[in-house]
Amino acid sequence: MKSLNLLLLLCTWAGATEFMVITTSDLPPLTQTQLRLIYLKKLTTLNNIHLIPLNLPATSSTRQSFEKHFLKMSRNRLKAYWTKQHYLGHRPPLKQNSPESIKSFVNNVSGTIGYIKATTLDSSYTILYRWSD
Amino acid sequence: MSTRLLFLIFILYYQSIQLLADSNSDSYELGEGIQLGTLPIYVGGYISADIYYRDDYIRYRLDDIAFLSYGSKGKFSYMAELEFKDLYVNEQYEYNSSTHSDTQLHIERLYVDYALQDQVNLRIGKYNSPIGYWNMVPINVLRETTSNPITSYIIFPRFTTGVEINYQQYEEESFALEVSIQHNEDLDDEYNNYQIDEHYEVGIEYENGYFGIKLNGGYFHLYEQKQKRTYFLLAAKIEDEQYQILAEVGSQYGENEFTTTYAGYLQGLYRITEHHIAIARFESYQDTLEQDYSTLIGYTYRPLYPIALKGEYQIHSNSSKNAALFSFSVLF
Repeated sequence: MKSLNLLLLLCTWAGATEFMVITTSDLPPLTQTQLRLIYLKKLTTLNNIHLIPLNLPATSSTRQSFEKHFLKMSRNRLKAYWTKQHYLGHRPPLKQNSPESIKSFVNNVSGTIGYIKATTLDSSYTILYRWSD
Repeated sequence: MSTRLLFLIFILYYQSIQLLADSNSDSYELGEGIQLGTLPIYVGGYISADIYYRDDYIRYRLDDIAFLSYGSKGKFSYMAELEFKDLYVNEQYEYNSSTHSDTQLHIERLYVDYALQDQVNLRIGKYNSPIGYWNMVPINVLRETTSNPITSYIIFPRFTTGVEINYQQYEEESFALEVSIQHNEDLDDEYNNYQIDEHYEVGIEYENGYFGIKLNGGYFHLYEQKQKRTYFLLAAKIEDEQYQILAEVGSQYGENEFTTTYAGYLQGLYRITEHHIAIARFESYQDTLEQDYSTLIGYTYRPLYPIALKGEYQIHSNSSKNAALFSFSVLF
């Protein structure tokens, strides 16, 4: 926890914003590739657990940063991808309006994965990844 | 039912989705359908109209009007697609013209999926034959040209009514294997390019996020002609933010001879901006009836991704088949 606080302090000092991917404790550690596949709904269950990726609204800077770092696709390409998936009967990740909703979801529903700004996090969550912009 | 009445019903359907979308504007985006209340059921649809112009022939057509519904609960999910095809067709020849319409609603796709394991999925019903890349998303609004390459509809049956089992292994590189079996007549063979009562198919696919390759092979039986056909199709694609290169080549063999010696195309797509796309396609095929080489140049304008305005010009080795095509299509 000390090192986390130090990292946050350094990021703040450097003017960078730090984000985190959080998940429920019943999920195993995920690779970045698995995370990408889960957010593209190509990977929907893991160890028999139904996976529920959560998104913030499209205008959220946290979401834009997450998409750039983990999905590595532009917004236009993602839009094209989800339009094709609609024809194939697949939905984009569930949208939550705030980091609080994401945290609440992760607290209460098994297999949930979300991302939030590190400053809104307390110590009770399983952190999968950290990144900064 | 008259064409006008059916069109009116579709407009009302579209308007009700827009009204639902307005009442839930936070979550609705065009091209992604709408949820029915809190039920795990989503509805949407698409429409396309096109113009085909040749020196001696012009066709105006309301090509597709389709209704989509799908949803999932636990390990089960379903997909239903009902469609009017050729709801309005006006054809003008050199000295006469005709108008006709097909007002029958047909089942394009209807299937249930069951996730057997993390990586294994079972599908039962009528679905797009999982062959090549083009046939997976063949509707006008999701492809970049108004026309389909001939390769996509002369080698294999476009639809299968049966059982498909699919294994997918996703890592940095993904690998998929699928087997599809039909041992009955089609659920609705109106749109299928072959009227079949047997179809056995196997496919393997490799993809690494930038490059993909897929090989399919199979056998089918035409019940009216009582003929057997075997086929294979090899497909490959390279794609990034700016461009896409797509190629498919295949062959079909009848009882004693090749019914399609070969058919293949190479298509390049360049995204000039997010709204403007340039396309070129080279195609060639030879079957028992004819041989043709063609070049296509096209342009697509997408003000939003689920709306497409397209134009293309085809130059054939037989110049009487040279044609210009234009279309408008929307997915909602």
